Amino acid sequence: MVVPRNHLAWTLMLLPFALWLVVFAYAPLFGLVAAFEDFSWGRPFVGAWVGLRNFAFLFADPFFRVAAVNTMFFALVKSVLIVSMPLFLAYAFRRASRNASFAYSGTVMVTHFSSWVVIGVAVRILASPQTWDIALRAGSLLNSPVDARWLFVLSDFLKGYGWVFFVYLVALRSFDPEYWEVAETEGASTLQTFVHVAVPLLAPVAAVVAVLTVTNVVDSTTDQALNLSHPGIYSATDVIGSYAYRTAIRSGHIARAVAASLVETGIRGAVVVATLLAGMKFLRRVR
Amino acid sequence: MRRTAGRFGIALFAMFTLILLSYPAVAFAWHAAAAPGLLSSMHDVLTRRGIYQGFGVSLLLVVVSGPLSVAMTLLASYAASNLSRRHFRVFVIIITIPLFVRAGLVPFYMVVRSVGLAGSPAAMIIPILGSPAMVLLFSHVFRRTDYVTVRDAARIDGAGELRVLTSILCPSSPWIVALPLVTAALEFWNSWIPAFLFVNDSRFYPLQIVIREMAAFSGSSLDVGMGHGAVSSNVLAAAGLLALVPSCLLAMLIAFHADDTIATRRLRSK
Repeated sequence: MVVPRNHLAWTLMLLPFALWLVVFAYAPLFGLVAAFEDFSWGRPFVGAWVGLRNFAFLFADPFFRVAAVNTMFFALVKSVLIVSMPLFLAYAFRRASRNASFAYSGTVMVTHFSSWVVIGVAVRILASPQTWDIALRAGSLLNSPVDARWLFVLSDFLKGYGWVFFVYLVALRSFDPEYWEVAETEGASTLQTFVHVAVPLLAPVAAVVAVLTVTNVVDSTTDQALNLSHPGIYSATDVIGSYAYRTAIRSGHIARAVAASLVETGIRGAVVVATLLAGMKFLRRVR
Repeated sequence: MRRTAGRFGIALFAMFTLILLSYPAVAFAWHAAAAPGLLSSMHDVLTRRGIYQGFGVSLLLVVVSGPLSVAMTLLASYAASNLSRRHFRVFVIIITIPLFVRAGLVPFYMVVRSVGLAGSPAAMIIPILGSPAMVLLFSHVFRRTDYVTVRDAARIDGAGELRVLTSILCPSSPWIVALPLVTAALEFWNSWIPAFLFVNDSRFYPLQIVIREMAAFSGSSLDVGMGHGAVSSNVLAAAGLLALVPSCLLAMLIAFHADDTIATRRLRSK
């Protein structure tokens, strides 16, 4: 029996998403060409070609160089912490009761499902000396560049930790428990079981988690900076996303801001490719 | 003895992370409960015009945009699942690229402004309506052999494409509608960048922007070098607590339903 095919219906069903994809996912990518143009709102995507002039302005600006270094620092440190740390605890929880492990993961996932606006307010409350009613320092932790840098790392780690922990926990609980039982019967210690059994089993999941985390961490840091950063701590917490926002929307230098976005896209791409290569190498080694 | 010490260490670490990770709720509850008390703070929040208006806008965004986003996702996924293997591979590449290559805030701002959405409340909905990740997931789900068999049988019996999707595929598993709906609802509840960039009229501010504005004007009480204003930190904390409710519900829902999926997978593997 021949199955009827309705190509017109399929095209109509796909059309709204295809239009959305072209306008809001691909057009911004083509918009990056404005980094090489003299931008005007009258002709936003076809301005006069100015080559690398916008990049020359950008790299001459010390604030941009600071933002670029901070972006790379946050992308690397946060990604490593978010991907590796939950692995240990998920392994520890693999045999906990269903209710205990999922109540725990449910609680630690709340931060992941909240916006940076809400988390930002919580961080401000906790960073304020008034909350603790002590006078350890002159002001909030968010007023000192060094403290603020590590507070940024810690708060983003805590925001991403819950979800990654949950993914690892689900993956570990789906493996047959005989893996652990056999290793322990043979006399392997907990650490040996973790290194030689759990890590090779979890390696493909960890590789996927690493790529997704690295992709999102740059955007997440921009959200974080827009909610928590202020001029007093720009030297430690300003990132390219927040720099581009100020350059474009507050100062009106759209082309320069697009050039900054292009550099950010390049950094994100480089970190993703590096993670992919490292993940493939790691997978080959553990298998 | 060593094993007991190890278990004690793990339990201690778990408790530590639990306390750290519940910090927003703890911080908000603690601050909101300070004098004049939690109930008074919540009452103050719920009777402030800006906050309940923002709560209403956020709720409206979720109620209107959530189903729209689900419809767009499922229609596209179903249509794509009918593509030939070669075309499907091209489709997968096309929707995977935006997942990893993103242009950033300013090109997004340029595009939304160029299509004339700036200043309109629609700017809070349309630019974030689609979800390439969900389309990628469900187009693969609908290509599974069991779905293809049911789909083809329904077509031979004369069912139209929309009927196959809405009356046969969607009711076959609660997750097909629930997963994109819950994800989209949370996306719209938490979304603040489009409203921050494109909405000028304060009547259309969602809860996230209202909280952000409140935080910017409570500098004196939170000591972060911002402006001075009349909003007390109790009210700010109570508003934060209100904004956390959907996140808590979703986290618990996902955590406790994941076990069903795992149990099913284990049964299949045996």
